[in-house]
Amino acid sequence: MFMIEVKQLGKSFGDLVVFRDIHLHIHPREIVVLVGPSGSGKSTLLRCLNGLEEPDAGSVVIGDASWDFSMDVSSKKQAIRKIRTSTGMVFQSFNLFPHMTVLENVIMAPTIVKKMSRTEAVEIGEALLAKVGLLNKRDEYPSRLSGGQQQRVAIARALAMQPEIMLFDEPTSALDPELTGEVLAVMKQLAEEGMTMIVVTHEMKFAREVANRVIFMSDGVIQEESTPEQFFKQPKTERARKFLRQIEGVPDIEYQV
Amino acid sequence: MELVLQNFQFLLTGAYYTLLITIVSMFFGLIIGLLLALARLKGNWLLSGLAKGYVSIVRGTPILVQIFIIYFGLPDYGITLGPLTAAFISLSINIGAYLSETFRGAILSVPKGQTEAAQSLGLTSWQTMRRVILPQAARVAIPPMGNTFIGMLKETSLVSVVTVTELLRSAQLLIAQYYVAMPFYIAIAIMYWVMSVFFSFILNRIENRLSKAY
Repeated sequence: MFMIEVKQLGKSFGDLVVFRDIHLHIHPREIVVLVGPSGSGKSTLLRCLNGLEEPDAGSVVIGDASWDFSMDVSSKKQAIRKIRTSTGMVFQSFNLFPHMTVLENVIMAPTIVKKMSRTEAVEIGEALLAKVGLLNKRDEYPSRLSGGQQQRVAIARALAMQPEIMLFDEPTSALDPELTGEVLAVMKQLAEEGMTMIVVTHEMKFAREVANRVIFMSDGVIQEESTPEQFFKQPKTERARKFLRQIEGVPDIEYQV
Repeated sequence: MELVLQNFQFLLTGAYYTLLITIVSMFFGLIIGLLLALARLKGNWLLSGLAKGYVSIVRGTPILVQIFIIYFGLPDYGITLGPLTAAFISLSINIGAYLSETFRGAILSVPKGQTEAAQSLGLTSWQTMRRVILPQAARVAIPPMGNTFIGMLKETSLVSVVTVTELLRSAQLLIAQYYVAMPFYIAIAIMYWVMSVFFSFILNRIENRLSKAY
């Protein structure tokens, strides 16, 4: 039984084919890291999984919700809503709601979407803020927090909807290097607790330590997927080798100033 | 000067009507403006086209002509409105067109990531609009809205031509009675100014409150 089943998924923006014929199967509790050069389509793939972008081909099954390109508009809409209730999304730019306090950010969706009582939502919200280590910031506005703190709040906000799957879209790319650690630590903790996660990231250390599987995407196709050990030690494709060389900081070419 | 003080009560009644017309037409103008902005941004081609046409016509014609159409034109079709009602309607229609552009700009100024975050949490587009976009847009819209509001306060003087006894017409009636103009005009100029300052103050307060989080 898969948690996520993607078949023949395709997406283009006008003439530009972002990816095509993507197949993806993800087990419950699996941590999948999606890597690849920028422009390879990995973020768009992730966004297609919860309907922020609409694919133009294929199907997505998440939990007991299924989306298919051939469905009519209203069933698609319904499918996306259902998919969104079981997935949480964390964005590169945090996207916290600036007009709400930290706690309000976290409890808004449960009270509005799930019609949870405020008391119950506050209880859950405070527990989640404690979990990401920010309970003392509950009444601050996001603008008063550092990037790392904002991203941890964003994780708590997504978790408040009690999703079965968490999608992370380059969660540390907008952060100063010294702040990435606190976010990765929270993600690692989530992984240990058995959350199913798909993470688009450039943090190879995280991929190595936490992932069960690494998927390497380039030019709109999945070039290879394997365990982190295998991917980092013996990448199968030349593209992956080149990508890894670049990301490890070994320059491919000589620079001259 | 004495004449002004003697008739101050009468001028105050005029000021009351000026305020009343401003606030009532601002209120309905806000609603019209918001609906027009949403129709243009979220509506299908028909709704958005209608909204666009409305804004174009109202902004492209003098407010005085609009007032005349409502007050003097409509009776030809059997719709006879009292002067005050005609003033409310024509000014609401007018202010709605201007505010819709303000709102549209303000809504567009909210980053796309906000919508995405709200939708990824399962909010419907209406919930996203109400809980996430509009509160942030309001902050952006307040300063230009203040301009419109204070502009409207002064444009209410135009409805004196359809015999609404607001501030300007009160002064004109007194001038006709006493054959002196300057003191009354100076007096109402000051009264307009005081009301403007008062509204600016309130709008500033609102703006500061909405900016608290930033």
